[in-house]
Amino acid sequence: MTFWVVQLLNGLAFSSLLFLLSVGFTLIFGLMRILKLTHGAFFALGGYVGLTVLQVTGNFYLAILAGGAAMTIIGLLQHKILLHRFHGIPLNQVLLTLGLWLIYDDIILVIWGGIPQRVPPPPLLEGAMSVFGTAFPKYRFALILLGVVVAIVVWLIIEKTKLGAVIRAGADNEEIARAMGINVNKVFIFAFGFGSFLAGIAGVLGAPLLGLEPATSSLILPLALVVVIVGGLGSLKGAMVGSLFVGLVDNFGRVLIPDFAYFTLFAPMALILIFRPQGMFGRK
Amino acid sequence: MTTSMIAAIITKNKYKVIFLVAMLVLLVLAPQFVSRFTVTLITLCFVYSILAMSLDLLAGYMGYASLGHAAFFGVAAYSVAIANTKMGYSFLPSVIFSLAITIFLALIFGLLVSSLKGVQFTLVNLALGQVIWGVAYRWYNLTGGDDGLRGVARPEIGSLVLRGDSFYYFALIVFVVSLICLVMLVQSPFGQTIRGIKLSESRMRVLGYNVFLHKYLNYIIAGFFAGVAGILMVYFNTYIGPSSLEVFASASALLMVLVGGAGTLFGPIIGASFVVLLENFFSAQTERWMMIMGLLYVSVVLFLPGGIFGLFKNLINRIFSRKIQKPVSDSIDK
Repeated sequence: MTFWVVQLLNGLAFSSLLFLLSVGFTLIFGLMRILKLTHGAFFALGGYVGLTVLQVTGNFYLAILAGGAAMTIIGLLQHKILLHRFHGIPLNQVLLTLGLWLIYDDIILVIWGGIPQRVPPPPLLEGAMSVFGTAFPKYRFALILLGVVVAIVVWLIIEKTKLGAVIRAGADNEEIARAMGINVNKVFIFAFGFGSFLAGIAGVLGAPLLGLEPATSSLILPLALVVVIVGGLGSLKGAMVGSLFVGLVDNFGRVLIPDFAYFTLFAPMALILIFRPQGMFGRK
Repeated sequence: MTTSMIAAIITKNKYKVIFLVAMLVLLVLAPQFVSRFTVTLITLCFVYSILAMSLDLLAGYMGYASLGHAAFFGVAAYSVAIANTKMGYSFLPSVIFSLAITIFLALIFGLLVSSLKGVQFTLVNLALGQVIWGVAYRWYNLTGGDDGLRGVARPEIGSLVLRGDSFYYFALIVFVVSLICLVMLVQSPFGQTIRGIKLSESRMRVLGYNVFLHKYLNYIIAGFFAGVAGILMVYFNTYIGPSSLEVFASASALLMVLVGGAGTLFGPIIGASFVVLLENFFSAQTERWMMIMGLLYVSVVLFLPGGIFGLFKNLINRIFSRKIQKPVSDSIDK
């Protein structure tokens, strides 16, 4: 019983991270139809920036902010200088973001080297706490809470605020939204910056859990992709349900059949694709 | 295809045939004139040309860009390495084993992706490819993890061990046979249907074609030839590591197709040779070749949207259109 509770909570903590990462990916795709394949690299780069800030200042919260801020800036620059030229041309977006991904990975190698790095959680969240009579790391519990909070905040923004209404209008029908006098470009830039920010902070938050290594970007991107493929590209609800699903499946897979860690992801994704090619909450 | 049809095709494309025969003669004679290093580079160009052509069946002819194509290349190579180093199979059984695994994988993946469209197809292939990479990267007992598998025995035919020039000729034969098969495929009614799917899937469906089945078969054939390239590669390097399965391996195959020009078989050959030579050049010059390849991707997208082939076509069009089209437009003005 204890085993299952702990693994369930571990899976939920991982789901939180995946949600932070994939909500940006799916938002950027849903709104702008841009495939931002640098999203995994943003996770890694954000984590490394956070690591350096942590080493210099010793403050984990500052590290989170720094990782997020750095990726917001890089994301906005990337969009402003390069990506916006290829609106509606997916193949070019793919090649462009892949090229940038290679560049970011190499920058990581140049600055931080190839050796895997361990990152400690903040002192306040070190150690374990008691959950239903079993010991469970505080840090992971905090991640679960954060994931829930971010999910609620993002949902409220999208569903209940004027900004959200504008975002939804822009995603549903860009031309009409433009004709109604909505500054769609501004909304796009907001979404791109916000998505990049979340990827950056997810990288810092994930570092104590997963560590950092040059392969981090390649290891995390497929998980985010599976989340949005399972959930449905461009759907917020899909990102939530998809993260829960992938986080739990991946965690139990790793624990129960470690040699097939990635395989356990593949089977459920395959099943869903066969019955719903557009994902659980995707529109045709 | 009957001999009379082949004869008809040859007379229709007289200059192309003369050019190809001349190229073939040059390639056969090449090892006599160029350095050892150049011979290995050309061998690599054969390998990656087959990979790029196979991807072009999907990306160029069918209009479906896969970002997981390296999965077939890598799995075929790993299968040979595992059959050879872990199970002790010799050349031919290893190849048969490897092709069987590759086709099996293509049968499964194809089933998943053949009903998908556009971006979904690209992304799901990417995810599947990454899953395969993850297995190679993490399943240490089988794949050697990050270290990969070393010491694949050189292929043997009878008492002849293929290495150096003899491997070059072996690769040349595999390349030429693959090229002929692919030319026949894209010229066939099947190939025409695939092109039709690129133009309008719904129209093909209305005309009574089984679109899913054609997409599925094309995917399997593309996977098969990527596997052939992978087998050649592992026998050439005698080594396979997870980097051959990375998303960047798939991306570089796509780059080869796009740089050369998608939707032709000649384009990917040019593109593959270009990328192979560039990669070799930069990895010898600097440790930062990853960054340089990244910059190459970005610059191709920014400055060469139609590929090198497209650039030449544009140039030729521009030169000739001035001479030919001007009088026509003049006459319209009057």
